[in-house]
Amino acid sequence: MPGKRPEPSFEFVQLLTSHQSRLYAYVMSLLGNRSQAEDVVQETNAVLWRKAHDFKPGTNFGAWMLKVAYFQVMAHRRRLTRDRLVFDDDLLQGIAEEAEQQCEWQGERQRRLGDCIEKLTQRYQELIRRRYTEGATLKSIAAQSGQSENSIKQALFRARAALIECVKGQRPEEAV
Amino acid sequence: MEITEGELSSEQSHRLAEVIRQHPEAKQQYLEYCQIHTMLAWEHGLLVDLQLLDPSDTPAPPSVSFGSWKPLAVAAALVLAGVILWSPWDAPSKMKPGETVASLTRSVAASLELSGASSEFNTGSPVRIGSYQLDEGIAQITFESGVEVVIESPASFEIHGPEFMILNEGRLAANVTPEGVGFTVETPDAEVVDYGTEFAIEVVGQRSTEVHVFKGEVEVQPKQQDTAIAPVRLVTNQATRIDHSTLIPLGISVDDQRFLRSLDEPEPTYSGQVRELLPLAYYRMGVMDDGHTLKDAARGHGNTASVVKGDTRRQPFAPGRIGSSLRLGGPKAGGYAHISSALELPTTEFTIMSWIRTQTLPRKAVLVSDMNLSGEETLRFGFVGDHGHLGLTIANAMRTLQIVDSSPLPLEDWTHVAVVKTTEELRLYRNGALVSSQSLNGFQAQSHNPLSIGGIPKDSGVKKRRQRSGFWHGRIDELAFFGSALTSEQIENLFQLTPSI
Repeated sequence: MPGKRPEPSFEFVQLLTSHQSRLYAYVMSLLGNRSQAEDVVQETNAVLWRKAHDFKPGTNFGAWMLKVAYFQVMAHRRRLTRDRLVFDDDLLQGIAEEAEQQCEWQGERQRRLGDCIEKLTQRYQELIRRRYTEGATLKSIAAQSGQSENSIKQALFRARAALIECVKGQRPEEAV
Repeated sequence: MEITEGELSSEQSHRLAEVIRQHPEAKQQYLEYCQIHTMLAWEHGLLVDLQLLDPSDTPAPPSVSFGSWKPLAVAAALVLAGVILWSPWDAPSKMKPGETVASLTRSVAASLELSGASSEFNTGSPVRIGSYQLDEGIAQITFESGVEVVIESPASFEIHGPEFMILNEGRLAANVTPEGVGFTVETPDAEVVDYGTEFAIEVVGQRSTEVHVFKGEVEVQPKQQDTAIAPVRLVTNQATRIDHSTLIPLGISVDDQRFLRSLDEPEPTYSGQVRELLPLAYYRMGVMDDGHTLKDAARGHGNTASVVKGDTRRQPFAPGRIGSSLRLGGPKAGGYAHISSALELPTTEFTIMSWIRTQTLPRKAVLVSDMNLSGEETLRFGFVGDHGHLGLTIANAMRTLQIVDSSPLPLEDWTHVAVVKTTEELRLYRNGALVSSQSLNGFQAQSHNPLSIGGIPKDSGVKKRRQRSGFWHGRIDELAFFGSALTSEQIENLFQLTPSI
């Protein structure tokens, strides 16, 4: 019964919650698929919660979390048919290692993100807002703005590229 | 784009894998793309539909399975996973991270963080639904309904909507407008529903919750586990404590000196009258946004003072006798304030006057002193000896003069104190009455400058004092310096003018 299990500490809950964005980024990179990533993040959270008492305070929570996530990704892959896999096994290993390193920078980049969005042109800002705050699809944005889906796609791609450059600490050449 | 906007076709997957395999820089770009998408989705609330699976092995209805869990822990976990929040009593309420429901109307040296996001908070910043950590300073948050809460660090809280928040740890004072009636604050031990009022809550970790009502009415519902515990109704000047181990509400005395309920200094007759007497400097101890400046309210002078916090994370402002006061933590914390060196007390006549409240009576604690870093001191207004007898000591190269109040100061009580130096004598007043005087007998005072409040500078950078003595433990409010000797009538009038608590 869940009630008999010792409760995770408040510190653990805080760690878990503050690492959610990193967890999602890591799983997303490994799966290359948004909706699959969301499922695996949920599964990983459930496992982390159950294993809360395996975690030793003071040790690296992020590293432990990514290890758990990696096994969840592998389990998820086993459930997929081959043609739904984006990466094969050996490529996955390499991506996982780099994704892990990348995650370390995420906190810093996330802090810069707000400023970077403000530096975007208004059109790109609006696009990012519609896509990420309202959850609008390419199709609905295209329909509303009277532009082709392809041009919205390109614009969104450029807006993200400018943000990537900006959060990396470089000046985006375009879009600002 | 298909990775985040749709689904990669089998052919696209192959191509992506191939490019990543052959070009290391493509792998980097791919990872950055995934990361930026994630950060945007997270910060902008697109992950609201993401749901955490019920972590129990045996799925059960939420109200049952979560009933025996720490609701606070579950709530915190789910809130930031951007998911559905189950309250153990109510129907599930959906949290939408990213939705703005309040704004930060005052930030006093506040270090406020929204977990999982990079927002910076300044006065005027929108406050979104989410989980917050306040490590330093004071944050005043005003909800769309007009409900105003003042939160003191260190605190951890969650904002769930315009009418609902959770205080996991820390102190909060709320002022609820008629439109905000029904505003609810949940703590690890209770749910506090407001019925139009001014109240405060303190949550001490997982130990207890206290609710104090200053005006109006609130209902406190302990979080019962097995048996139902009836809610407690509190009205003006009532308070209750709910201990985490029993969840049984215990009536306690209301404490109006613990919670900073307003960040504004009222303008009563007292301060107006002090200004009429043309002080050289007048520190009302109003809350300043930088968290360390003490503004000089005397006309045309501007001798600001600056707080040296010492070893404490708490911000230095607390409820005062009028508005807020300067809170000092005694020898343990070692905090004090130094006054700009432009303020010089004349050697012939002066008056120092203040409201003070002591918590303990440290040996030789200082209210005002001119002790410098080499240890020279010609004026000390503070305790004489070990037992809380207030006195004034002045010295020159030849002699030392002292007047002392024969009865010690009471603890945890506001007292009005004043010392006056005329050309002939020293006088000490307490609550408007003369309690001691001493003839100068030709004593010539030396100049008193620079002055510090509540303690003496700890180190010069070269040598450190060996002992931490001289630090005030308690509060100081409405500290005024005059370049003249106020009369007994003037001092008594000022004492009588102070509005009752």
